[in-house]
Amino acid sequence: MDGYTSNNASENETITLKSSDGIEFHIDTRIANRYTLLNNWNSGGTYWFTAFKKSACLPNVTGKVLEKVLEWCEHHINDPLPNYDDDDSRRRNTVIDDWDQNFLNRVDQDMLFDIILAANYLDIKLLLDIGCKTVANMIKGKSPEELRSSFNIVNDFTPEEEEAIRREN
Amino acid sequence: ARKYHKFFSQIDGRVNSVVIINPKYIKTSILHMPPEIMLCIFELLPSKKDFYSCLFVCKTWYIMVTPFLYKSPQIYQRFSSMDVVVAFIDSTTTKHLSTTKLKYALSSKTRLPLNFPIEKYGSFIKILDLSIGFDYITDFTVQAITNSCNNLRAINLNN
Repeated sequence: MDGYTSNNASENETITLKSSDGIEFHIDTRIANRYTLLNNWNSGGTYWFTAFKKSACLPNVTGKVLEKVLEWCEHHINDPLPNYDDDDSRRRNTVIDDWDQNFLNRVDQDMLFDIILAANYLDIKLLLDIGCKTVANMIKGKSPEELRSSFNIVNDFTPEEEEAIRREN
Repeated sequence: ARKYHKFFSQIDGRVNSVVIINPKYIKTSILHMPPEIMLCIFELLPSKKDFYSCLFVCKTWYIMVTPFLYKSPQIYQRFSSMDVVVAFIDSTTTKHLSTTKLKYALSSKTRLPLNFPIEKYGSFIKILDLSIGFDYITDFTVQAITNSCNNLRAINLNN
């Protein structure tokens, strides 16, 4: 009963996020608080949260990406807070949980990178981590040619330079 | 897109011939990642072999990956003070054996590059394990190493 009422109360409190292409998202304040979305906005000069009270504009994030990021935040709303002290051990752990794996497998590569950029911009550390892990898994075990073709990178080495690297390393 | 369309039709009737570049269609790629994110990603790579592959991808990657590759090299070679020769036991070499390396592999039984330029890469080395070749190490060798590896944090000589 209590849970229901408190849920109800917080549902009324929403804030509005506006993406760069003008799509508005009404999100639960719990999500905003959980992911400290607003903490940065209050201190950072580029954010307009304080000016418009309950809405904020994200000039770097498009609607499609923001939708994905918020979907992730909503799913992880009840996760325990990560321990930021042991940054290293958290990073070393390359296992991605099933839901996250699924979540990122459903998006294509450019969306994955957009999500990473957005997570970095919004300072959602866990999402940034799983994004990085996913990319690292994509790099793992590939030859240079495979890496170039899978990430669309142009080889800008001259054959001489390449030979020099091969010789030295 | 409609907005752009309207704008172009006002200045020019031949709208269809105008290529409209809409930001939506520029795909984000790995090259858009800022270096700090790339470094986080490289940090997660498990083996030296992966770093070795990344070296040859493009110049930017080469610059970013080299420090990881040499952070803690495994060493198996005689150290002579005159020519600081370092060889790395590196699982990578079997796959990317070039002819020069093959020669080394056969002649020195080390499978590894003998012409490693320690002057160039020495500053990336942070942890150095010399326990395998300790017979050959003299004070002079250590001095030579410390001269070129100015970021060295730990050195294992195994007495």
